[in-house]
Amino acid sequence: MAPVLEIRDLQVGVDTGREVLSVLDGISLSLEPGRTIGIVGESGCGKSMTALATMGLLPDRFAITGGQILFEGEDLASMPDRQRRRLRGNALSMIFQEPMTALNPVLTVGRQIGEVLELHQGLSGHEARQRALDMLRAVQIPAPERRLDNYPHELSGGMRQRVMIAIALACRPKLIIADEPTTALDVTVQAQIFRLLRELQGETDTAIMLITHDLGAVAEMADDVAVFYAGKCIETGPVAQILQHPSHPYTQGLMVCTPTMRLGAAALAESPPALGEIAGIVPPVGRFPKACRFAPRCPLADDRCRTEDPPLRALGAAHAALCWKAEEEAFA
Amino acid sequence: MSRYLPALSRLAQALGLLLAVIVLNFLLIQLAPGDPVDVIVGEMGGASEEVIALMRADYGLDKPVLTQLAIYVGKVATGDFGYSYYFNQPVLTLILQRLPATILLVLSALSIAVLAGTLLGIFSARRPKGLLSHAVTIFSLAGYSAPVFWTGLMLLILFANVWPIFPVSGMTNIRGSGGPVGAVLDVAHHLVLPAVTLATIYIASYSRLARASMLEVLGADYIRTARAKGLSERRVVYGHALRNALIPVVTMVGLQFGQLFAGAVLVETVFNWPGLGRLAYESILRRDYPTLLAILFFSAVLVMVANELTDLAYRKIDPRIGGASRRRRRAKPQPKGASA
Ligand SMILES: Nc1ncnc2c1ncn2[C@@H]1O[C@H](COP(=O)(O)OP(=O)(O)OP(=O)(O)O)[C@@H](O)[C@H]1O
Ligand code: SF4
Ligand SMILES: [Mg+2]
Repeated sequence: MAPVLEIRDLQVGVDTGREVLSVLDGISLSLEPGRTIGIVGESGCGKSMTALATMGLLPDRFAITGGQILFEGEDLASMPDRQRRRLRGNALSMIFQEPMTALNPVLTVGRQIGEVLELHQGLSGHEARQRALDMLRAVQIPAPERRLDNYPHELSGGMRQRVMIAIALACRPKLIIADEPTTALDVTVQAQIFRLLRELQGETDTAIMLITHDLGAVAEMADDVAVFYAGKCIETGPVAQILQHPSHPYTQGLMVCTPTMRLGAAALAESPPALGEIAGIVPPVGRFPKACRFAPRCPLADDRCRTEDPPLRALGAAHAALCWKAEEEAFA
Repeated sequence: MSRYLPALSRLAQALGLLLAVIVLNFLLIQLAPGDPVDVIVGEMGGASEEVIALMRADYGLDKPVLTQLAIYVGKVATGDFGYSYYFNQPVLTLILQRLPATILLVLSALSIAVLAGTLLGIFSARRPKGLLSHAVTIFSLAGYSAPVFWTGLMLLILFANVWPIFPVSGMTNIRGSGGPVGAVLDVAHHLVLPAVTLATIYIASYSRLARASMLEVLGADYIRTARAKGLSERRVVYGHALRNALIPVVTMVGLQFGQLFAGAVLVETVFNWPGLGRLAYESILRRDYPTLLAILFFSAVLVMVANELTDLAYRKIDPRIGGASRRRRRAKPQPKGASA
């Protein structure tokens, strides 16, 4: 099946005024309709920037400096803004992390959902309101008729995030980017939101890019995983493969950090016991090490790792890792 | 009954405040050296001790201060503000004559300041590094630091001598102009300079406030959400950002109303505008205390009414401030997670 989203060698830079620093370096991913890709990695490794670059919403001073973002075959990176706006919120939509601040405090819920329908589907105010009501039902908000005229501050965090999802899904997008959609919510609500996303995905065949810190959520939701580190995608592959046979030392470290409870006993049995928590922190933008960016923290690093860029090694049908020693590790 | 309770308690508060205004102003004036009789006698070119004492008794100025105060409060309660020594008219009549001119001036100045200031602030926020933005910053600083009377005098000189297209004194043309439409245009023509003068200082502060507020709002998460919806930049700014950015502006309108009256005293004096401000100036010069007290009283009432209106406007744009509608207020936020 033709991928709905294909990112090819994406480069994003930030202009600090003195120089342009690399934020994302050579990100490549591919996502087919109806599938979910989980993007994981520590804070600051470029997950949100990948999402925002795809949406064309990079913050001030950030810009795409190379590569392509193909959405149904058309390059979003080089598309005129006007054309990209027609896709945004329509065929391509995003759910943000902060349900408390991501909704406009002075507009009603009905208005905020209806707006995209009026804009992209040319519905009248009345029709849009009807569809907004349908959407509130679809995201399982109780007493939706009443909620239509509520303002965001009258809703709980979980309900607000449902409203965000309703906005994102209103135009039946081909692709949803969900950037840590449940981080700000408590655990029971997280599970409900994920279940909801999966159900809605089943109905519409939407592709989802799910950004999260939570490997448990990835195990539950994703078909594929991309692991990010310091602006690079260091391992990609099918979810079972990555969780059970993580090849890159960084991915292995991430597994150890995640409570085994959430990954199941299988992960516990198969993850290499040698690695402890990953020591050190992600280097900030502009201070990435020369060759392998993970080398300073990697227990397996040797001289080659510090002097030569590691290759992207294919490890199976769709499994690849950016590491000199990946192969050996995977089948050790 | 209980639904009127908040309104009743507000009313009681307002009355208490007015009483405090009366008492404080009354006592303040007692502190000033000299009394009206001194001024009248001075203007008459002197009088004998007996005549002076007689006049004092006539005006009730020989009684103890607290007795005078009690009498005054009692009279005000019945709507009697006394008689002007200088203008030889009941003070109330005098004030009601002058009030419309001041309200017209203050509201025009306020509208100009809020509209122009907000627009300038918003345009410059959209291009914070553009030429207009820098111009607004400089203009704001200048307008903010220039005293009102100085701005007024400069405009007066400019339009009296250099470029006489606006009248610089009074509210109407003495010769009178034809018909009601002519009269309105005449007043509007006279209004331009005083209103612009009074507005200048506030344009500056509103443009600064609106600019800062708009910049802050444009960085908010919900603006990113609005952009993610595919809205055009214009709709993002006017449909999503503007109302949020206006909230501090409305707050400031309420806070500044009192200052605006103070400014009106100077502007009315400079441009000879027949309002309460000039009346205040004249009655201070003449020590016409009943008039002065009544002016202070009515200014306080106007400021309170203005604050009340601001409050209403505030509730209207910001639904988070309770009471947007009673039905909505009942739909309280659910405890987190419980009903999500
Ligand atoms: N507004 C900004 N100005 C400057 N640098 C920024 C800004 N936002 C993010 N960055 C930097 O860009 C890099 C990538 O950040 P990004 O937000 O993509 O990380 P992330 O993987 O989403 O992290 P998190 O898990 O914390 O959301 C980080 O080094 C971060 O410090
Ligand atoms: S290339 Fe070397 S340093 Fe980098 S992750 Fe692989 S083993 Fe570690
Ligand atoms: Mg992020």
